[in-house]
Amino acid sequence: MNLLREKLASISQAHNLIWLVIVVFGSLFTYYFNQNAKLITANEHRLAFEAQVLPRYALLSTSIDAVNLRLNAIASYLGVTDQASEETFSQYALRLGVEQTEVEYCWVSLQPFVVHSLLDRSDSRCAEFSPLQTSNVFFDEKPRALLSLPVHSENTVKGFAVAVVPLQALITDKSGSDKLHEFLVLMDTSRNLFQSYSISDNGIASTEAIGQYVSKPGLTFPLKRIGAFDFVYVAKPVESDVAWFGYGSLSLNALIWSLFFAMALYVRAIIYQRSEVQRQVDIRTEELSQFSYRASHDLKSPLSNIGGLVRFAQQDARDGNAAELDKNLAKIAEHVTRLQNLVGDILDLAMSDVKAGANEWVDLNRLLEVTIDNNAAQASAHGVTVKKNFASLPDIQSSNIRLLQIMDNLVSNAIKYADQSKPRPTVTIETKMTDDEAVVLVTDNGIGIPDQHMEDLFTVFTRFHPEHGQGSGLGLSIVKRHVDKLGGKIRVESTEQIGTAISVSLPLARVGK
Amino acid sequence: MTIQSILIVDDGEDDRYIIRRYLREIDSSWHLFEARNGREALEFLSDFEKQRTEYQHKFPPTLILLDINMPVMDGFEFLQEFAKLHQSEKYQSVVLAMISSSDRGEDKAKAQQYPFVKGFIEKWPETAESLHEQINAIV
Repeated sequence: MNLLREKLASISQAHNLIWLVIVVFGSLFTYYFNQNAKLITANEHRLAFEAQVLPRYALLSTSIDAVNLRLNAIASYLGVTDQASEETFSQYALRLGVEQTEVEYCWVSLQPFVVHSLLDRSDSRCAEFSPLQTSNVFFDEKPRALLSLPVHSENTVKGFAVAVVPLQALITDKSGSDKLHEFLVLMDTSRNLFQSYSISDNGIASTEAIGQYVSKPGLTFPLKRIGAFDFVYVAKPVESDVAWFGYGSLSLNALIWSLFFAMALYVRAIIYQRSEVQRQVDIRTEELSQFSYRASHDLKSPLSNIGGLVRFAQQDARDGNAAELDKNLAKIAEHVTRLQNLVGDILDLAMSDVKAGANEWVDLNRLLEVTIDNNAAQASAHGVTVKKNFASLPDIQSSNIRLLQIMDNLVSNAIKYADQSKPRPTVTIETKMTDDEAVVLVTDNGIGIPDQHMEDLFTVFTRFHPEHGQGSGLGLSIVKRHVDKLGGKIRVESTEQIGTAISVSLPLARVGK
Repeated sequence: MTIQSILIVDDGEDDRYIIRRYLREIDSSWHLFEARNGREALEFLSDFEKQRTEYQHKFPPTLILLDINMPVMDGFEFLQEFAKLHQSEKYQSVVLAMISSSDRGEDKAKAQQYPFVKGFIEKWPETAESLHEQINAIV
């Protein structure tokens, strides 16, 4: 596969064209076989697999064709032909009580053409998959396939190597009306799937009978391997909970085509992944180049000024101009502070990618108390009242150091950019809890963020108020990175002159990572 | 060309102080205009009649010293706008020099697209004399 990847890496987007050719060719092929679909049940139960197979399921329709062909083969093996009477089929009928056979599984498709795993419904990923997960299997009418299998949770899945995807097809039922059915077709390369099933005389499969071979009532026989790959399929009318199952094998011919399509899809998937990776790399490179440009500018600029001012200060000293000397030294000190802040912020930003993620339990309210204490001096210097309104919160799985940085940034920003013209500059810090998140809300009635900056809030070196203070323009970028690392979300609302509200939502507990 | 006046466009207060002090040292007879960003500079330059009445032959400035990174309207945005003004006879004599602490080649190439950009001055020359030499070369 590595070789394949390397080869692909050397080929350009021309693959898109190849892909297109494959799809067109495959569709024609599929159409041809759908037209020739043969059905094996009695006429009344003819399953009309028409060509309404949706294009994105083109791969699967070859399997459906194989279903028909192979069921035909099984039919002749069993001595049941197309002319078989309805009675013959009715003898296969089985009705399974809801409480008897619960289909406790679902299919999870991780790639477009491969069902990777068949999971127990207790697996949370199952919840994302709807069609069959809660179906109880029973036939409310006569069986529509030659061999219909109740698939019991204990009988399914394990060792099940597979290829297939849901597909939809219109099936004409006995009354002549068309119903849209959903299908899953599964190839069993391991031959482990079809152990055995039985149908009792009264048409009800007893759970005790599972493990026996299935046949006409009273007759037990092994399911014989016919084609290259065994498979089972599951069909269910879209609007109903009733599902039914069929069994078959793929001929070598169909298999080759299936593999051909699978390969085409695989190639497609790799190309997509590659271009996606490339895109990510491009974005990061551009970010990095922007960053180093701005960083070098913002580092150099105070340094050059210090250089210039030092020369003037020397001159002032020589001239005995104490007042000017004093002014220049004060300016130098300011630039040094600015540099210190900037270097500190750049370090924070770099470290925000490195530090541990959410790996400890944090009392968020307490952490906010600490943050408020740390900023108390700044708040009183700016004449800002800090209010708090905390809901009771459980400890959250997060990171103390990251959260301290996030909160300190938000609170000190809110204080720094207070609107001194307002009678009562206030910063309010609230916490609240939703079902799965702890939310911190920092609101101020400060000078707000100009509209034109709302788009690049989190872009590095964006200063919203360059005339205001010594900000490095990195604060919110640092906050955003920390919040991302903690699996949280940040929302900023702001109106100039009115104030700013920033909320940070953090997951209460995180699995993994 | 004799320098009558120079327009300094820079958002940094200290930057303007440094260049102002250097320029005064070189020739205290030069009239210095200052703007804190491209927008301010453009507004100042656009109203030809008004400035002409007020500053007479000192307007338009002989030389514009233009910073690159500025809020509101940066150096490049200013160049784009100023190019339109420069087409007019009245501004034909004005030349520009970029002043920046970045010496990025890309920035230089971008600025050199404009024929009236005659030089680059890195922040800051060691001495007033070296700045004087650079300005002489530009004007």
